Amino acid sequence: MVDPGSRYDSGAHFELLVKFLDDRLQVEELTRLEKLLLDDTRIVDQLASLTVQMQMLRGSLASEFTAALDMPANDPLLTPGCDGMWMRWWRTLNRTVGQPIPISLVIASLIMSIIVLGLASWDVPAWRGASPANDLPAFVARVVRTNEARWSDATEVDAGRVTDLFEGQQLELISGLAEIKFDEDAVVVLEGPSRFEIQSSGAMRLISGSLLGEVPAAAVGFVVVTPSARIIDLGTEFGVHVDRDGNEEMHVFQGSVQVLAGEAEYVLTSNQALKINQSATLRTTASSRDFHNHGKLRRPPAEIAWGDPQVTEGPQCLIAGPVVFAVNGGPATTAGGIDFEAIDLPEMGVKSSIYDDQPITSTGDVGFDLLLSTSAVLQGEQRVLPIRNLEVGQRYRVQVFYNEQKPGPRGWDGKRRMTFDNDSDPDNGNEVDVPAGRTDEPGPTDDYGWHAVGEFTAVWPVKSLVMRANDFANVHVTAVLVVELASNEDATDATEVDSD
Amino acid sequence: MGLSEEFVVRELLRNQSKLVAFAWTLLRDPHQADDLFQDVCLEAICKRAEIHDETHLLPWAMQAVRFRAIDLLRANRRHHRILSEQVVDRLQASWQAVPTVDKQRTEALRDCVSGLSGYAKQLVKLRYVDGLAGKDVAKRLNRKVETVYKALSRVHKTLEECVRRQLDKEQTDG
Repeated sequence: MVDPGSRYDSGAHFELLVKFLDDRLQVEELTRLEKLLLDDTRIVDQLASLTVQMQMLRGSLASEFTAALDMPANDPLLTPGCDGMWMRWWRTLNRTVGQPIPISLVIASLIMSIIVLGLASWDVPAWRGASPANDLPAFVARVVRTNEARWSDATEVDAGRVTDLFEGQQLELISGLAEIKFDEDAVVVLEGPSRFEIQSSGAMRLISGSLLGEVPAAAVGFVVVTPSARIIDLGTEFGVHVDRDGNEEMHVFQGSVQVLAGEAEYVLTSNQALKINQSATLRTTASSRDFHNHGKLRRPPAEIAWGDPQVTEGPQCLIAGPVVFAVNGGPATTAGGIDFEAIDLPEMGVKSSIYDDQPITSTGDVGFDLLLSTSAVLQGEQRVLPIRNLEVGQRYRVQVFYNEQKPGPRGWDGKRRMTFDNDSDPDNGNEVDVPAGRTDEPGPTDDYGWHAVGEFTAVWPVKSLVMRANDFANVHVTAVLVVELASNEDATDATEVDSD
Repeated sequence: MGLSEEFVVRELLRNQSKLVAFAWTLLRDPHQADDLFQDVCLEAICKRAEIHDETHLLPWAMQAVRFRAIDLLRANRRHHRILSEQVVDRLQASWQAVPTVDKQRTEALRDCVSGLSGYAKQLVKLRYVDGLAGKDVAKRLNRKVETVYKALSRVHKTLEECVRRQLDKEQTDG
């Protein structure tokens, strides 16, 4: 079970609000924030409080920063902050009203504001003389999730809560799993027993133990330092293990990493590994299945138990439950009350419109119509869609939609089929084939394509959904939805409903 | 009888942080918010004879900020940045309830800022004292823009928690 309370993340709202006030939100993000502001009054209050705090920092307190930071103080009546602003205001007043306003009134008001706001204390010792003991450290990462994590007594991590981690902080995870997200977006899962140190927003040191790193494109350059090597991530998923005798292993599951070990430099790509021990450095290769069996670095992927594919009839087909992941192959849309984000994957080709010249009857939900009538085309016959934000140990239901309205390689009798799989092995029976629909077929309609539902238990915070095109060139994604299953929900029932 | 000029100036000064902050939220530009606040103050003085009740001054000023901000966004062809009426209603109601910035809150924030790490202070200085935009702060510190926003968010969260702790402590001690 995931520790109670570990999902709360008020920091995420702070970031959204800070960007909002700097006018850095995209239209979609702004829409999301507006919804949050309408749904949750706590966020409205948080925004009010944050903006006032910012205004105090830039206005009323700015001159005191000058003192605290040993900068030359400017004349308060000429600085562009609060005080200078009043001078400008007074001048504007004079210009606009056309007659002089007594400056004494403005100055009296200013003095009053200084008294009221407590700004006369330019020499407040607490401001100038911050003792190192009082320093709030520079936080650069946070523990975002844990699973049965037990920390050493000396480790300052609040069990079961989101905990900020600071530069130079050393931690010891005695057992269990802990997911740490760095400010530069790299995510690392540590498995106890492990000892490690947070070095910066883009670097850490693994003293001993095991970790799995996931580094998105934005965080390329993330560094893991071990006793013998420096691992520089080039955008990938990789594992590192350091045992107590000083033996080290680096495994790359996807992408590539650069390893600097002494004078030597290695570049490891997918399914390559490097072992370093006290006597020799050995580079090896192995199949991903061997890594799965390694145990220390990677667990077998979560098995998805798929139900039979079903004809999609309308938004009533959407699975219910708390949504953790929802993407549309086309633009962002709201279907059946669920917000689907636009899919964003590398090497993504066009987002195609499925019903170019074949207008169809609406499902009654224009958002759902949009969901089904667009899909992303991903280069290659097999692609992986990472499903993120999962909690280890939690059960999930996943729903995949496929709608193509095109004949297969053998004409309409052999409709196109997309395979959705648990792993990259096409022969181990963990997949489901979802057929494309066709509008010109008489009889029971499958104008809206087909969908399938599966269930799995997360073993890592990310689950890879493997998607394969059968006998055609590129992977097509219509939509994917993942919801959380309640702990008391009977998993079998859900599959049976979709199999009916 | 209308409000006195002195009362209008004093009250608007007392609520300056609150009003500028509200304008900032609507405009997403602190400098425009400053200018807008000046305009509202000027309008308040000019129209003070029409504001009969002292308790109506702040709601009047909030409403003036709202109208002027929306006009400004339209004039600057930033229609798409105008928040929905429903959202602005909610923000306005919440802002009106925000306590006026008083001496205790100011001192608490000052103490909390003094306790920030060197890096956090540098961020705050560049962003708020020097007035650099987030992307310029990132350039100056040779960090990614996203990293700077994450760090700024942490600083604000830290400061808010620190201020709340200090005010709670004062309340308990007092």
